[in-house]
Amino acid sequence: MKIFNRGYIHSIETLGTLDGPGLRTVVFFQGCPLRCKFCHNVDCVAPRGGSEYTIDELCRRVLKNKEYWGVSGKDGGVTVSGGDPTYQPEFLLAFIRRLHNQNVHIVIDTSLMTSTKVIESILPYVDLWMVSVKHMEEKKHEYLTGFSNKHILANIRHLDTLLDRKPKLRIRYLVIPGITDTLSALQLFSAFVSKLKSIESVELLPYGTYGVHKWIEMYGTYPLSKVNAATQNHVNAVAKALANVPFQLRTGNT
Amino acid sequence: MHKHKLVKTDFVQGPWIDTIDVHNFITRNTVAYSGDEQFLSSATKRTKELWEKVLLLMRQEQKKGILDLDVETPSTILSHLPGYIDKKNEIIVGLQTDKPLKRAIKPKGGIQLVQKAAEAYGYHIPQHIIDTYTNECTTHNDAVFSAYTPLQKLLRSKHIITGLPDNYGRGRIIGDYRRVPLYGTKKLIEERLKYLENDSATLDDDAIQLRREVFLQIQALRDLTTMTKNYGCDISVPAKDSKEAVQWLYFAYLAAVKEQDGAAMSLGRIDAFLDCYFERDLQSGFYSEQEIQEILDDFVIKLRLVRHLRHPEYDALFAGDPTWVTLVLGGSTINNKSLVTKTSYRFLHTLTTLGPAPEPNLTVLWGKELPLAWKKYCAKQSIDTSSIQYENDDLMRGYFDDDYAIACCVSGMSIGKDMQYFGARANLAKVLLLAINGGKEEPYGNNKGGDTIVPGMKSIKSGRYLHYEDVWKQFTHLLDWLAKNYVDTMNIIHFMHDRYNYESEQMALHDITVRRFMAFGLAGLSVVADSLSAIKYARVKPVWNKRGVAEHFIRTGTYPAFGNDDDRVDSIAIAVIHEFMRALRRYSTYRESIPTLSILTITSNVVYGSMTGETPDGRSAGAPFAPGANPLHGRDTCGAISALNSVAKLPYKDCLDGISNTMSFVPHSLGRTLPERLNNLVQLFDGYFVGKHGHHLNVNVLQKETLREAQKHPEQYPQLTIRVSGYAVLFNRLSSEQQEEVIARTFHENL
Repeated sequence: MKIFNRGYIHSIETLGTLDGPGLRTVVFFQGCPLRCKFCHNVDCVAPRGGSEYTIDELCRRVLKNKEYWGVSGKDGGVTVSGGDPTYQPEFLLAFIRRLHNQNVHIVIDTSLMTSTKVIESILPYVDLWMVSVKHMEEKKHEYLTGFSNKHILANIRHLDTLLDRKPKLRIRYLVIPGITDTLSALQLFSAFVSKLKSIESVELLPYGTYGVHKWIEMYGTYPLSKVNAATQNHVNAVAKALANVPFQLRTGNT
Repeated sequence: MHKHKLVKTDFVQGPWIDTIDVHNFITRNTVAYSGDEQFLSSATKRTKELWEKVLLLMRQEQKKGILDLDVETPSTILSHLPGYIDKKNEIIVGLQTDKPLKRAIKPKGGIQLVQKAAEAYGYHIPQHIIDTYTNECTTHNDAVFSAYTPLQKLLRSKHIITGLPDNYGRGRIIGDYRRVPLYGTKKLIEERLKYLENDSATLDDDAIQLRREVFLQIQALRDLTTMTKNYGCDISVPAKDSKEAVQWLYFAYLAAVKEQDGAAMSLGRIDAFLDCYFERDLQSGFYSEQEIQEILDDFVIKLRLVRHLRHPEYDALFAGDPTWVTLVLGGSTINNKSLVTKTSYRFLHTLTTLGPAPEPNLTVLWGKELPLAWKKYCAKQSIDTSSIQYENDDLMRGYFDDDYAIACCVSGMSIGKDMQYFGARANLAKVLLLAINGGKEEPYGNNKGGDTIVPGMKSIKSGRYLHYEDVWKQFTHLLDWLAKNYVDTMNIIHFMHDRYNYESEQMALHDITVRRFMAFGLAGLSVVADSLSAIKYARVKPVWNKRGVAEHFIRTGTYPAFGNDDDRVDSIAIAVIHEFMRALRRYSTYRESIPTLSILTITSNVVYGSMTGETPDGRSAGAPFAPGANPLHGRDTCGAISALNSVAKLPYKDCLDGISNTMSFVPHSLGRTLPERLNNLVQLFDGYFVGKHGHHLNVNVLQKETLREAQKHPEQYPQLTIRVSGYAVLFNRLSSEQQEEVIARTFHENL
């Protein structure tokens, strides 16, 4: 048996409403190349862990929820998240290819810290790319995630070209008070995003502390313990600073 | 309001003119509505002022437990003179006694219970009333206990069959209150007189009983007519307009709650029916939308004032003083035509005009073909008020046709054609422990256990670990034993209830010949399924105490738990239901009633849990069960949809008395924005009901912190309403133990 016939899945959330359109089954893949200090799923980072699934088992599992995805089946679907789902590229490809062929709407939640080969391989099977930009300044990115952002930003531009103006790219930006909401960072972000051609929307997410307990459990400490959670006010202020971005800006305001 | 001018009856005619056939009237006259809620009117100044008066009284009531009690006057249809909140400002009139929230005694159910209940609130029943109901009248409670066998008493005192309606009114009977406005009592009486004039070829026990009952029904209709004369109305003739239609209908219901104090006195299905009057009067310009809403608001205020006198043990089982004025809304016809009318909206809108409240118990019948605007409005009101429950219309129509309603929480019945003999529930977790302990009672609390309940059973004690096959065999053997005794017990209760505490007014609003259900119930389903799953998939070793019963279970390994859409354990839950129902069907029932089963606990999951020892799934002794058919708190780890899917697998055909499921969501878990939340909730309902054929769902949308705040500052949350198993309750009226249980329940948060 080839190794990629089995995937490591941290967990499955069947009432996903925050990671893509409609009601979604969110599959959290195990493993992540980045080491974000604010990670809220730090227990997904290690390459092994969770439960092992075959493609058959995982497809069967998520398809049990297809009745909740609307009459067309497209008002919801499956979101692959993690960790970073591209960390298990062969398993990811086999999984979403199978689902896509069964008319399931697929969202991928990724940092794009992966190879162009992987991006190109899964491209036909993804309906919406949700790519999170952690920070526009290279140094700060390195501080926050352990890696430079060069490769990620290049991948985003490459994906944007591949998508060929089809609005299938949602850029997510985590508002971390004092870290990602500086005017300099936002100006760079605005300039970067505005040049992209295949944007569906830009989504601002408030940084929350709900993943801290996992850090404490696993490491006894939390690296961003001095940073406060973002409020809606923080998000609104960032939205204001990004007002000239020529795309829909999602802020979670009701 | 308007001076009365006579409105011509210009309803579409049909067979309903000649025979009593409300369904036909509705079919001919209903105007379905597929628009949105924009047409609704807000509360008038009058409504607000009247509701403020009522709220003031309710606050006093909450402080004192009950506001007032008339100890002198056993309640009947005619016992009390007219009562008003504020006579000149009321549109719909009528109270159970002469004052709002003043309760009455109904000693036909049992005089000792009335005494106990009165004393709990500092009142005393006069000696002459005690003497009358001790020496001269047989009460239902006395009658039942005169016939119970020792074993039946044992099963009751050992909490194996629990909450039986042998010390409170059985309720769960829905009169077709619509017949009164549509036909007037004169015609209804004539129909029954005609029946009594017939000579019967065979006059056996059944026929004699029925003749006697019909006679009592006629008397009740006459009393009802007299009662309304005291209010200055003549309901012997049909209602002439919208206001009279509501008033007549309410009078018919009021007579029922004056005569009876059954646990659930449900109202039925009246939205399309009343809408026929409203639509006609709106068209003719006789009433405006504002006036129609005002009539309904006033009516709903009255429904929120219904009260019964309950004793403390009753409150422990059914917390928060519920009356289950269950009112179903919407649904479709058997030809898939929507029955959603503007009046369906108007009733849901009372949660806005008057604010959230537990009563009436608003129950939306969900189906595939209903208008999207309606579905979204329901979702909106749920998100705003947590006061609505949902039930699967597409599923129930197959069993009850399209003119059915819900009694209590989840009990479907064709209106005026079906009635049920309510039977509370058996504690199956205790039965599983009996199976493991070879028929001996398990230890819990201060009870060391070891008493023999089922003699002659072999202990399962051989070997270190429990074997699934052995336990299953003993368990199903006991299910049969339980079924026999449960059926016998129910037969006694309802034989006596029919004779000594008969619901003559409600049954007068049924067809003379009715279909009867005998509604059994089970509690602790998820505990039983998880325990059996633990025995099957993990390894469970009992620790036996000196009395030879398991006082503790040691588990190694993990097991699939109910609530994760995992067939390995979900199939066990299904098998338990199937076996129990199969056993119940083996025994003959009183008046050839059809046995049905519910998976419903009300708030009794807390009490039942406290009376049950440690179970093999890891639940500790005394810990609460999950409510109804819910997974046990915290064991559903894959999110709400998986939990819904597990419950939706339970077979309705084996649980025709309903499968209750309660879910709490924090608002954020349904989406980031309100439009997203509305869409997602509608989609969740469509998935659960239409896609997965689930039966029932209670929906709460709130923050845990709100409940914590309400515990600390109850005065700031006078109308905070939450759904518990099958009904809604004011959070402040729960015991602190029940409040904790509600807060501890899984809140679907999805981060």
